[in-house]
Amino acid sequence: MTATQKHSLADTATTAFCWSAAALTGVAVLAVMGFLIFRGAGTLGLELFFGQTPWWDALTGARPVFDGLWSALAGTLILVVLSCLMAVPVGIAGGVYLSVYASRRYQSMTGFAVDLMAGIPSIVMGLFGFSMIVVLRHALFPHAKTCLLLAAVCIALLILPYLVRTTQNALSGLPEHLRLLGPSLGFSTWQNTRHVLLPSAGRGILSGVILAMGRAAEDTAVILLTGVVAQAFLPRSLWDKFEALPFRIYYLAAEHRSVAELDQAFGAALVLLMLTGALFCLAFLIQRTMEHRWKK
Amino acid sequence: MALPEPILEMRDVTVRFDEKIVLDRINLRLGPGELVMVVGPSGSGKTTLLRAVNRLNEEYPGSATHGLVRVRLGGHWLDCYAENFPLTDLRLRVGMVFQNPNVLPFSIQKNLTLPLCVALGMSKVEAAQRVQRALEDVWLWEEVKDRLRHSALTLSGGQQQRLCLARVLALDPAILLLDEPTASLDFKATRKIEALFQSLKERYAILAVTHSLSQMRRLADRVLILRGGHLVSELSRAEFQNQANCLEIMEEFF
Amino acid sequence: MFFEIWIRRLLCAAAMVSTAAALCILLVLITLVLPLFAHGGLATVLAWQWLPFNGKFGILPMVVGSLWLSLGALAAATPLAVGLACFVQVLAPGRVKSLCLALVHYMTSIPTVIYGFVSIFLLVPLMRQWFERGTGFSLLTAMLALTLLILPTIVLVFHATLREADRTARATCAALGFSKPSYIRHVLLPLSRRGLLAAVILGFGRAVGDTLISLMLAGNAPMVPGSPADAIRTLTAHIALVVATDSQSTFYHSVFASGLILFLIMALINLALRRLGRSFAP
Repeated sequence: MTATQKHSLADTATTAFCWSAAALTGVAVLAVMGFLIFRGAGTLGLELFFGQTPWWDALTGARPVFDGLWSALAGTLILVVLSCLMAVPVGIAGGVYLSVYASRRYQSMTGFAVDLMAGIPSIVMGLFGFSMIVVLRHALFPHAKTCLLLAAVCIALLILPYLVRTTQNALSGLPEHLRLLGPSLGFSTWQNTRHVLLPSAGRGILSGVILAMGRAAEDTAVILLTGVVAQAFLPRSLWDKFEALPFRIYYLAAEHRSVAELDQAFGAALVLLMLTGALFCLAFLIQRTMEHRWKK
Repeated sequence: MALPEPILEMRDVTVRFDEKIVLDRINLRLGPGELVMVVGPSGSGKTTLLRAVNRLNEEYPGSATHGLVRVRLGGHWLDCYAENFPLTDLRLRVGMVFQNPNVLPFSIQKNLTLPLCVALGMSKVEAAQRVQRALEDVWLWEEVKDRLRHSALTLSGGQQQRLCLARVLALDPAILLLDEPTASLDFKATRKIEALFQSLKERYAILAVTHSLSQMRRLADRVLILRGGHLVSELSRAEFQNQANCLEIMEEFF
Repeated sequence: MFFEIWIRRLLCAAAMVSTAAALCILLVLITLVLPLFAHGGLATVLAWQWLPFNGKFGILPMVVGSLWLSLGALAAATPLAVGLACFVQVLAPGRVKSLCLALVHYMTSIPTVIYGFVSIFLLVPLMRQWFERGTGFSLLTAMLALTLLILPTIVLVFHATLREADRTARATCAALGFSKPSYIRHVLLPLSRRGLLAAVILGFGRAVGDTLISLMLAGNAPMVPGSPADAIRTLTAHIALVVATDSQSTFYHSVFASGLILFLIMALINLALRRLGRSFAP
């Protein structure tokens, strides 16, 4: 083979490889989504969520739902709300501090801690929560057990580093002349942050929050060790056990005893996929409109 | 012609960023009603010079400024870097316009009233009363008076830059610092703003940076040539008015 | 001015929460592992057999399992990621490019449990047929699913590097008469080596830290695998299984040791990334 022939063979091989990599990935993802839609779409409906209980009674908590997803879905929603209530203010505040106020050394040190937290496997976070209970049981509260509050705190810790980083990046990514604007007009640092930086970076921060919500909704490993159970109805207080959608999926996949339960598993998986998908699309769109504006 | 008492003075000002010397022993004086321009090749420290006056260099980590920078306000000399001269006060009296129009993503009205409310502590009503005068000062009133509530982002580049200027003027400064204010504008907008500067010169002392030698020839009363952080020459209007002279001088220093 | 000072303090405190939490977690794990060092428990835990009811608490098979699974998934995902990233940046026509990129971004939002769930019904029967023995829950099954999971992470990080390198090099090389594939092979990839290393390390971190895929697909047998068709257990799945089955506390030491090992692996990964100049979180 001449050099030119070898060359064009290599070129063809490279092109073929790249195209197949893309095709393979595309097929795999579409297979996952397609399979779920195919098997799960049929199950969608009021019965999937509320079983035999009328939906109004179920929503108000008047009657418990026995064979529907409602308690799992409600559990997930409550978990997301609780953990975000805790993590979002702290995360955004931390990100603001790191981007606007902190010295370079401080940024580096705290940045490392934030990265460390971001890298902690979720099961280790769950283990941490679990060990808190073990410690508490020996020390102060012999009746301490894993519960909704514990899970919410652990998930808050899980999503906190992402919030800090996305806020920090959104603020630091603002063009320089905007960051200098406030000071040049005589604003103090906080005035500049509040009136100039935060409104301008608002969308980036918002999309970070939405992504964090998605992360909180899909997590399974943390809740596995901090209080999720297969059957708990609606949690009446922060100290109760609770159900969650991802756990329901896992549980049913492993231990379904009938076709009906399997169908519910598919329905649950589809619902979770739609939930995280919706959050993702929202965050993506917000991010895109922001980029458009600053690119002009 | 006797020189009027200066309003800004810099003596032996040296600015370092992390041990690297960006400005080396700069001396300059600026009088009221003067438009002094600073020119020089890229990286010669022009922007740093401007920022040394309103202490904006301190927003960057690792900066260190030595030497004297003082302004004469209300008849008294005030050291810009003194402990008892609050940063915010300094920046209200020394206004800055940047190269890129940095309007905020709010309405035109809010772009003007926000600094008044936040930096000067005015009430919204008081601030709103100043809007018309500020816009008239920059010849923008007729163009935008019907759409004050519209987003400032809908304005053209030249209009946005004039809005930024209005924002600064509304704070009633004594000195204006202009950092290549027409660099991002087209020809027509540039001419309009240059005419504006000519008229503003009477009320404010202006220190401006420019890349354009023709702009320098059109506007400047005096020119300071900066190279590698050093002030290598100072020219009066008479000296650079002559075209041949001007080219020769520029060749020499660039 | 008072207000300013307090705002600054408040924001600083918020930033400290992450640091405090990281330290706290490390401390708790170390404290709970400490007893092991006291009674020679370390030897018990760093052993090869996990037979809790016979008093054997070795977690080394799980360590090996984690490594095999993660490295295997990494080996499969990296070439795919490189091909995909090059495709997106250089070879893909306009619309396809943005579609592909959006798809990869979307993949990051697909819950792990979904990958595991779908694999149980699609991959496991396939594996069962292919190998003609075993239950279909094996190292290979988990590896395939994990590859798909970590793929977007590697692609996105590597693609960011590619994009930067491409910006400066593309026009020049086109002017020199390079064909696109040649450009990829001879210029773009060599320029992006560092970014690839960072992406691979990040992918490895993601793989090691994952629990659900191995819990649902790898069979959970606490033994060193002899072939890809064997069932294995990872450190992460081990923690989940031991704690969730609510066994007696004597087993917990192995679990905390597993947790500490995982924490330390991630810390090392972070240090390595710092050297390369990147951070973990997006």
